[in-house]
Amino acid sequence: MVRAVAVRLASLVGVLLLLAIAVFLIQRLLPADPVRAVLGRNASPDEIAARRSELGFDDPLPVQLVRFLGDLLSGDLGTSLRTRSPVSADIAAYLPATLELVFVATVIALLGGLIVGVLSARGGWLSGVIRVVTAAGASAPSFLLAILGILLLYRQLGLFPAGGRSSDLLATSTPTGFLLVDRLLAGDPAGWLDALHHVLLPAFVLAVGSTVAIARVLRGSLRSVDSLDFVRSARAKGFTALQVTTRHTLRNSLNPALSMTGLQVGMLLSGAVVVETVFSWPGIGAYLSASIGFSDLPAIVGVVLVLGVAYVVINFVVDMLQLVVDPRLRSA
Amino acid sequence: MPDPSTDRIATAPSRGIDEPVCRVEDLTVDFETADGLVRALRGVSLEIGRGEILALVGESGSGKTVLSSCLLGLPPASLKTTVGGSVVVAGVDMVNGSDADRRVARRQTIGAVFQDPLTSLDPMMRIGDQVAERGATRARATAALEDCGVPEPGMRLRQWPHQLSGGLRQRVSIAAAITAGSSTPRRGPGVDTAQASAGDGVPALLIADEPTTALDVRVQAQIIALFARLRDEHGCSIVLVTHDLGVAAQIADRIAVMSAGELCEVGSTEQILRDPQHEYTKSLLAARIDINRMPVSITERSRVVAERRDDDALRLEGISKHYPKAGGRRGEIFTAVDDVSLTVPAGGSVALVGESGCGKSTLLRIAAGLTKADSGGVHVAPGSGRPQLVFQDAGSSLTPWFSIGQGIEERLRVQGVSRREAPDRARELLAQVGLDARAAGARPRALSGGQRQRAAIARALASDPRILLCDEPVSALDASHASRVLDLLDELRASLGIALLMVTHDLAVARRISDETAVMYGGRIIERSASEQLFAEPREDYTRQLIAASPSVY
Amino acid sequence: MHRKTLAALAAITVVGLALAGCSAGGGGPAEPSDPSVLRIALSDDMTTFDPSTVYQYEGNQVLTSVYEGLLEYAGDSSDEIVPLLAEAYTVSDDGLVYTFDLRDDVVFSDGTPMTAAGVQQSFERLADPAVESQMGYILADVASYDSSDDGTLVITLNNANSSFLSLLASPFGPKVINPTVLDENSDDSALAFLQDNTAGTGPYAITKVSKGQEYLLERNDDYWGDEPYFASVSVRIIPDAATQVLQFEQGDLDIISGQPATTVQGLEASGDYQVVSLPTLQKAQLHLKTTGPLADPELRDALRSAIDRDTLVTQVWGDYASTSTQMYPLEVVPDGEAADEWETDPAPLEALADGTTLTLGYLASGTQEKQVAETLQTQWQTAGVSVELVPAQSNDIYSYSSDIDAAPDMFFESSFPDSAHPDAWSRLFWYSDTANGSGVLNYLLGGTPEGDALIDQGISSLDETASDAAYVEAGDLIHDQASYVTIADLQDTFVASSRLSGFEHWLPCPRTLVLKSLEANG
Repeated sequence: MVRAVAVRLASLVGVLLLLAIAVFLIQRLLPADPVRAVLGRNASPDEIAARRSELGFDDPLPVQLVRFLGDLLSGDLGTSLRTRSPVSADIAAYLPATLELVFVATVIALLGGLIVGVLSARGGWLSGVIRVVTAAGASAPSFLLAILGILLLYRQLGLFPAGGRSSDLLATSTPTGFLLVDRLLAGDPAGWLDALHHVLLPAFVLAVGSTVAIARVLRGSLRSVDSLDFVRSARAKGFTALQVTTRHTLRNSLNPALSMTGLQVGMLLSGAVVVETVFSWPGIGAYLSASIGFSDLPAIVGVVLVLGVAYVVINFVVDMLQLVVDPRLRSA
Repeated sequence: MPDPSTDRIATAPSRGIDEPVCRVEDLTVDFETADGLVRALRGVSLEIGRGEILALVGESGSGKTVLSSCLLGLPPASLKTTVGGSVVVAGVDMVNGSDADRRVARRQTIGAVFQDPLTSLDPMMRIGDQVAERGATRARATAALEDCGVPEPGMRLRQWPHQLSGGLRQRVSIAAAITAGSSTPRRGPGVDTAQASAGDGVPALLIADEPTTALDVRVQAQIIALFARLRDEHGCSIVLVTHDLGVAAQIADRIAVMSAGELCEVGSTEQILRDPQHEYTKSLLAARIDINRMPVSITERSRVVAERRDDDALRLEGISKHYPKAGGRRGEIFTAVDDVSLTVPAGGSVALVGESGCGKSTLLRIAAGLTKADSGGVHVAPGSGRPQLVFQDAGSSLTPWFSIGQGIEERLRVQGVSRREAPDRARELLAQVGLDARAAGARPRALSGGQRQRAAIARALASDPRILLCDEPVSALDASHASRVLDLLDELRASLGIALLMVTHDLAVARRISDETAVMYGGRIIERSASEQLFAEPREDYTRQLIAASPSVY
Repeated sequence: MHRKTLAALAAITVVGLALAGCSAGGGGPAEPSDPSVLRIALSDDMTTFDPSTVYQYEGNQVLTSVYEGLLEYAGDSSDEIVPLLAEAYTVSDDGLVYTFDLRDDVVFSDGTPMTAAGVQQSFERLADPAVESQMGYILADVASYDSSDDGTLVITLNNANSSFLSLLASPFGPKVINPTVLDENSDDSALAFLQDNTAGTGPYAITKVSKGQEYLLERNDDYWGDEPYFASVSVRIIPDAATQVLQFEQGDLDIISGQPATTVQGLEASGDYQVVSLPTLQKAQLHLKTTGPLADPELRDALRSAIDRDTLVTQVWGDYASTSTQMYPLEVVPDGEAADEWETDPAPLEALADGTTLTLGYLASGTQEKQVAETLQTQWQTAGVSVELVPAQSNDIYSYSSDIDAAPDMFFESSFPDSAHPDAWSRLFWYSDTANGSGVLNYLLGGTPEGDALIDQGISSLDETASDAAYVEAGDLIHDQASYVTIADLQDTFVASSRLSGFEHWLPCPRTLVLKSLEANG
């Protein structure tokens, strides 16, 4: 077990290092001029040249890379050209909202994928209906789902808010930025429900595609596990189909679905940009797109790195979950 | 449609001790598959008495497994499965009864053990939870494990299936099967509680579907003995589904022989083995490769071969192979083959026998050049070409999208046969292994297991080898096919002078095919001599155990 | 059993949704919960509250009611400059000395009174290189300040500058910041503090912030001027234009802006809302290279003649823009001067086309830019010139002038000057000598030394008529050179709840309303 964890930790570090180097190289290959961006339209060529060398853009590439990695290690992602704040501070302000959204979406996708996967693996008319509905849902682009969701559930029915993280938008600056966590810790059940009410619709819209992907993998894996002897054994022991599924088939089918969930987290992180825009969700998406429009390289690099880390770490967690689920992996 | 038999049993006022635990009447099962309607059972009627061990014997496709599934009330699923007739187990109609009644019957009255110990236990559930799954206490689960001969049963409860050997896993499966649900909490309406349990929470009926097929012979003998003891101690009835009359002979009170969905013959074990009435039963007995009965030609063959023994086709010298120990610490190694030397004379045949994990397959792969030995040398006689391999599972060794002919032609082309000549030569090779021209156009899936194995041999012959290396070439085949494949190998040896090195777990096969037999244990060859001598006067105790454990009808 | 239950649940849900849809669907906009709160939307989060470094629409809508300068443009969208924190001013005859009489009733929220020294401190901060303000250039030519009298600030320039007052009045011009705050945070020129806090003299102050969600502006009770009608202004960050409309229609917002023409027309047609369209200095124009394939002035002229502007403007902006008539934005030079008009005639281009292929750049981030570029492409295509479209990121275009051969032959953009003075337009775009900080937006290097001289003459001329004449002549030269082709003058269009009135707007400040003058009826 310890060795299994250690092996995965080591590969985690390697992946992160590669990611950092790739991000560095990409930013140096982009044609945009970050110095002009900060100095604005009235700056003279001399000012720009002076600033270039001050920012170290004139040093040889390896020197810049070493400095870049050193800064990363000390948590310094540089200063945003657009907001003029440390990128780390900007990310700290916007990332929790995104992570919260993606986390809730992941939970929805996982639970939804389990339910849809199990129901559609059982066969019969229900499975047919589910497969048609989910295929339609998965092929609709998320902004369309988002707008449909708002039109139906906000405008027509008034069941969900149109956006934002809370009814009182001004009350969303909390210690950690994770509203659901902070309000729970603050002993504010009404506020917690309110925050949940706000996150549900955007998270659901975000989760639809992933739900279907997970359900499909689960369905396939349920079907292949279903023909194994231990499932026959369980039926022969006199359990109902549902009992057999929940006690045996599902657990044995879970690992492929978990792997898919890990992969889907990447989709969720990138899909969040669109969904955040439609739902006025104050996450990293708006910050990233504004930074791209401004060619704000330190900000872009910072966001890409942090999202990359989030992705890799989440997949590490998925690996760990798989170890928990499958006793055979622990000894390998 | 109300079933008269259900009525009769349900309303019977009292039942004597001789009342059967299970009564099958006119059972018919039809499958609707993509290829059309398949009639799996054709009006089978059968009774299983209290405390009786009934062996259900037949070749693959005979319907024996479908029947055993129906006893559980779980007929195999297809597009549409139609079941007619009735199966009454302890008063519950397992065909026409309600879902709930049948579930309760499975929970309390029936235990089931399946073939593959690798998949018959849920890999994600601890042993204890699986044994006690039907609501037994820890103590009861521990007792069941102990009953089934699992050492240190208390400790096993917390272990996972992958931590146990195949034999232990099968014992655990049996322990789970004999740990029925307690009959106290919820009693099904139709369940006859007087009949539900054989006592001690052991179900009245145990259904074992090929429970020992995947096990080594010594383990198989132990499991068979375990079934006998369970019956003796708990009085439960056992249905043993097997393809091997030898296994049936070891334990069954009665034998039911099945073929093509019909019950050919039912009778006492003694009667079936000594005085078979049905032609099919006779052919089954005749085809059986039995360690205690060899075709007369064998002693003669040994003598002929001895005359040829002037040079060696294959010589293995001091072969060793080590692997990192699975699940062990870094640096811990497992010695698969430990300094083994072996020679196969030209035109001779050598069998390598032993239980799983003894290193025999590794040695064969080294001989074939598929695995590199850590030390030692493989010497092939000059001009004898690369040794060709024949595997147990011919289905997966043949390319599925090639026709049989194409597969052989491909091999021939590699040998330099021209495109024009290849089809003719391929047909010749197929004829040599007893397959007609039609087989050349068929894809592997369309052939029977025996035909596929012949095709695989034909393909191996394409390069005109002097040595054929066979890895369990007949263990996946029904007896009739198996003996014909062995006959074929004998013929090839006689007519082409090909030498054979065969790995097998089945001593009967070794005795039948080989001039010489080598017994492997723990990576070493512990005993090696001419086959007749080895089987007649084994020196090693281990060899004696293996011979004694081999099922035989004589 | 289970299936029946599921089906029943599904049926109930569907019926329930349908019923709820019927009951909630109809009706006009709901009444706001608290009539003393004005609710507006921004499509981007503000990056800073610092009036010296902010340079975006969003920042202006909020910060123009928090910070004030000495002068301002009149709220009636004209080019008139009116007093704000300075009650009056005089300019010396040589145009070098500006004397401002400051109001004596202006107090910051902590009780600090506004004095000439405090104003000087704010101005010096704007020009401080450490602050890196994009507006620092406004005060770059100041020779000295004299704040010895608390009520009078005297600014002496090195050179006469006819645009100086217009820049002081510009919404982007120097603002007055509480000197106590500047003193307390002198280590970093108060950059960190002012990024997240406000310290101005305006009618509102930012009191609550939820980044990326909402800013709350509350009335400044110590405000020296008339008390604004709304006690507070809730500024919500809603990036998606369609979501803004939905919330507006539900009565969750009072004003929206920046919507596509079709949306505005739809809302106007409903009769439930008022549409307020106001003139701005925003101008849509085309830059043309004078080198490479476009070296021939006749070809440039022919390209211009082939453009059917009226059709283009109607297609893209509907009623919310007018076809350009002058080289300058609205009201910058007298009507009819520096004209940029022609009869649409593709014939000259057809004659010259000869299979020419040209490239046309546009800003990928803009909303209308692509549509304009595609319309131009079509119009020229029919005259025989094929045009390749080149989408660009906003910062790519700064590098065009340094590598002119790699730049597209033409570039389309919409922009606005910092003030309504002609120098703010001509110097940025048309100045051909880019060595000394002029012509920074002259991406494709149009203009001539002759034009540069006229622009210099305009800024140093003390007589307004003579100054305007020089700028007009410069405009005429550019028109003749056909290095810039103006397309449209864009308007600001706000859709507002019908209960609102008192819409005021500063000409140089796009997408910004004067919050202090807004009122609600009833």
